[in-house]
Amino acid sequence: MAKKTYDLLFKLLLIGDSGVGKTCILFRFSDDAFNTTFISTIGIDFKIKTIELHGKKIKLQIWDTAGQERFHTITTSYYRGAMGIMLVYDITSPKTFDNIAKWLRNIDEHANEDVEKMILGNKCDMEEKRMVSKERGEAIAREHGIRFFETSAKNNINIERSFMELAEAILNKTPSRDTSTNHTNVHVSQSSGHSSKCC
Amino acid sequence: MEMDLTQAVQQNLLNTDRCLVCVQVAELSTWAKTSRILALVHHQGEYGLFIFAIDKSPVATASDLSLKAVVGIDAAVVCDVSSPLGIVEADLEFKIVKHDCTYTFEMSIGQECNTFVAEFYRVLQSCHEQYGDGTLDFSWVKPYGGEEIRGSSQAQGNQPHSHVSLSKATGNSASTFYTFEDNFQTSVPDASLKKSSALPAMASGGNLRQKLEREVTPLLRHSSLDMMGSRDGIIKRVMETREDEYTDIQTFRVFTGTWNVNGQPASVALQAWLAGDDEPPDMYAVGFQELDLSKEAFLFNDSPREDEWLQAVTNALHRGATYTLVRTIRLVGMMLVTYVAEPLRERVIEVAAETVGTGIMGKMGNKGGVAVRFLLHNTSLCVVNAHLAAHTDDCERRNQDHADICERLRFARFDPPLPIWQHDVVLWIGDLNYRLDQLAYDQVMLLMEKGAFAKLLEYDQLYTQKKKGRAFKTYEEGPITFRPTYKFDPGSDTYDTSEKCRVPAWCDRVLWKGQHVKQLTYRSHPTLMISDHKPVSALFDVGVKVVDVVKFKRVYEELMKQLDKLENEYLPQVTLDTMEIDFDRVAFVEPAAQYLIVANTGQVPVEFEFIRKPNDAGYCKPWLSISPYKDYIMPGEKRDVKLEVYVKAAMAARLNAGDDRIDDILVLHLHGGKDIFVTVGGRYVPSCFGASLQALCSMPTPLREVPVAQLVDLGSPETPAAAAAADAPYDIPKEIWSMLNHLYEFGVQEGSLFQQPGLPSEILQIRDVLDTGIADSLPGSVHSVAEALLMFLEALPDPVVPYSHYQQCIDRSRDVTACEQLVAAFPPCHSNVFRYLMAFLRTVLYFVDRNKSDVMESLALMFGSILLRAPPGVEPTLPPRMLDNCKATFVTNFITE
Repeated sequence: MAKKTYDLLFKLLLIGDSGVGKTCILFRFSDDAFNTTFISTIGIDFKIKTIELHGKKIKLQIWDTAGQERFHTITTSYYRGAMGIMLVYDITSPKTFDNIAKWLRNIDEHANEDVEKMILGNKCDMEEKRMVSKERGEAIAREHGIRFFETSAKNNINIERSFMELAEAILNKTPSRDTSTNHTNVHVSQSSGHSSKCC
Repeated sequence: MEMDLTQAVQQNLLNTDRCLVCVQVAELSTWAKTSRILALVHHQGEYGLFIFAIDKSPVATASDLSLKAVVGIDAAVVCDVSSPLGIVEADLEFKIVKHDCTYTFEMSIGQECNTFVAEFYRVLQSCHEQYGDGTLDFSWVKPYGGEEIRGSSQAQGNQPHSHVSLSKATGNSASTFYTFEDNFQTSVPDASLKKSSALPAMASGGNLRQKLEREVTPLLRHSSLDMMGSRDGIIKRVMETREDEYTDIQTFRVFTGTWNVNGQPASVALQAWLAGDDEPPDMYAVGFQELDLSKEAFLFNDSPREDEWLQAVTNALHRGATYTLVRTIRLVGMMLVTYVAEPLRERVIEVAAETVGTGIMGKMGNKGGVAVRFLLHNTSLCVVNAHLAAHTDDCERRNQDHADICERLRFARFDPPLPIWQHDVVLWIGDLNYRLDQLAYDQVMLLMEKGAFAKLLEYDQLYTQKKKGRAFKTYEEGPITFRPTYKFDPGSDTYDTSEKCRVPAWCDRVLWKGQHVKQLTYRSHPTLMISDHKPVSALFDVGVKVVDVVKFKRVYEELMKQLDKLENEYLPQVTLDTMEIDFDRVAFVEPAAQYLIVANTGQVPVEFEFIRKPNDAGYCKPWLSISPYKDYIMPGEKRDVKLEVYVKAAMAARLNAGDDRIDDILVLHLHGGKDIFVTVGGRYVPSCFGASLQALCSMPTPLREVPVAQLVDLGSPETPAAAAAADAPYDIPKEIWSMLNHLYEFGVQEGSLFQQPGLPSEILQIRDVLDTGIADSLPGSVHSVAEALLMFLEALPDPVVPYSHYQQCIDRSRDVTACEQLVAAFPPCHSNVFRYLMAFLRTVLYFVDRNKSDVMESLALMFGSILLRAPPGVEPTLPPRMLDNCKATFVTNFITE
């Protein structure tokens, strides 16, 4: 009975050390809101968001993972099946940046080979506490051939943009299908109620 | 036994009222979906749609139904049936709009649904015909406990045409609707996206839980989205109700023309009729009657005149624009051609045409109607060209023809077939054949000379019949300021001079209905003389709903956002009282329980389950058990999940050695939702149970006094500490000695030793004494000591018959001498313990006086299975029974006298 409401479904995953702001990034993107209280994610949570890209309705299912070390062996098992992974660090915490290499290894070991990756340096609103320069972030991203953004969930900087770019990157390598399916046609779908069966 | 639904409904009605047909449906409020029974009820010529809630399913008695609301059926009711977005397999959506109150139901396609919808349409149509705009008061509904749903007269006054279009949410919601229960949700479009109009779960009320279980449980296995009705369905409904927000009314000029050409060939130019205005119209709808009076046309519906006249029309279209033929349709002599100006071509979709014959035998095409419909931008438009029954006296017949066309003309490409009245705008043209009553030829001529058309119109049958509500009741017509168009001497401007001397009449007419329609001209064109009729034309400005792409996108995106938000809110959600369970001190065979409270704090029922982590054998470690490990929780409810640790003999060694710890992460999975990690921790208290024979032999002090690090080393035979233990201070562990000594002293004379179970609490005491060495003698009964001994032997990391010697012992169990040699080859502490145990068993047997062989057999089996254990991961080479026999045989070798 479930009817198809989207053209494509993309599974995205947010990973990175505990406290870098993965949940806040997701909350900003899905609910356009921000909460300053830190509640550690103990598990795997997800939210959905429907976007439109190149005339296609895309449902994003975004998984937010526990960052705490003790859960790593479990969380890595969720990597498989993800089509895009956002690797987040905190620009005010060098340790979280140093761990990028470890996270990238985790991706190599556990995620699908063709997973689309992106590195986000979050909390870029806290310039006065910055410990990791943007250049270092860009350098490591370039080194691995991955897209990079500095973001702020708090000030809503680059959040939407990074998700859209990641989705677009996935869309670009998705084999194109019959585009006529369920494409929103203003005239047909809004025909004051009587849709026909033969068109 | 399931009761006939109609019967159950009937029993809920008064004697004066009768249930015509009923059907089970799902009501879709903006987000929720609830089971309902719809019943069409008849009361002395009036009809009502009764909406019942199902209190108990399946419906077994009349009391399982409760009436929720009644919609009185009159012309104010608009009904719309569609399949969501053209999905063939999908359920039908049945929408009832009365004033600003909208109900939407989902029906599964089938016979019942067809019957209901067909009957409902029949009733609705007959109400349209019978009562017209007259508002019925539906006082007969009052005894059921409420008023009927109806709009205020003010709302009607403001919107004279509201009955022909889908009523949109208008600000002046003065109209009332009555429902019999507060938590019955109607989707009033204004409030459409408020949370309060969502799932019944969110309404307040005492019996809510039952209600929820009753109504929602069947959907449990579907995703949470399904509980809100299908997302596509919601998008469609909401976008429809919000159409005003993203469409602008843009005016297009529409030319309509009708001419009864009396079978004449297309020998004249039609510019005077079709292109007389300065500005080119955006659309043409031109109708002909009596295009061909030949037998061939009548019998075979084949006419060369069709192309002729089509060409004539095409040639005469306004030069100011380029026109495209949209559709032409002909039935015998009736033909309708429609054109749009080139820029509009792409904005015309869903074009369809149909014909209905009402002539000879009520079926033939000499009379009847032809129609073309299409969607111009977002406005649905239908043009009907009709030729109704002739003769002055046959007025009733004309009314009937009109009613028949309304009833029978359905555009079949739609499912269900779309009737005329379900269009935003209807233009009805044709030779309707209504005459002037009561007036003689001369009187008409006189009034005509004076130009007293208004006076003359009072005698016009269409005018009077329409006023009485007997035909064209819901249609409008502009004032007639032209002379009657019938009947002329062909080729002249002279009214009938033949013998019959027919009284002139306005046979040829143009009527319309719909919002935003403005008639600009209504004329006849007397210069066209080939027929006995004059052509008539009417020019309209029709306001068409045009989608503003930017606004549409904004509304659409806003809706998407709201739906996403809702979908996220409707994901299963639970709150745990803790994420970390600490068992603190965990000891050998000492059960301990903790409770995890799982509360459903979401909007939907939750199905939870502890799931297996990758690389793990089960959903938790073997020393833990979870009950229930999966269950359902309704919103607002809690479930206590019991977590119990119990370290059995088989797990003790690994915990003692530190190879395993009281430490686990459980994955609590919510079906269709998230996973939560629950950490379980505790501190295992090492015990002599589970320690190795070597280690125990080398320990002069009780186990508790040995530092843990040293304990770990002693557990493993490869470490230097274990090697050092070769010169162990003891031949056998003092703990074994202690237990056997106790049994020698108090138990050997007990005939049933090893046959009776011990008490768990005493076993724990014995364990503590052995671990701490605090007491000189062992507590508890001999049976508890005997069971403790068995547990002790079972918990040994390397059994008394070492893993390394196991297979040989099995293979050679029948060879007594070989067995002796094998035992002699065990590591010293193992062989010592083995011999010591065997000596003990022989003593036990010595004191058994009856059934000695039975006891021996059972002891051999018991000790065989404990002393000889296959190394982990080794596949057994023999069937279990034979293996047990081998083990028993091995032991028997040593305990027979």
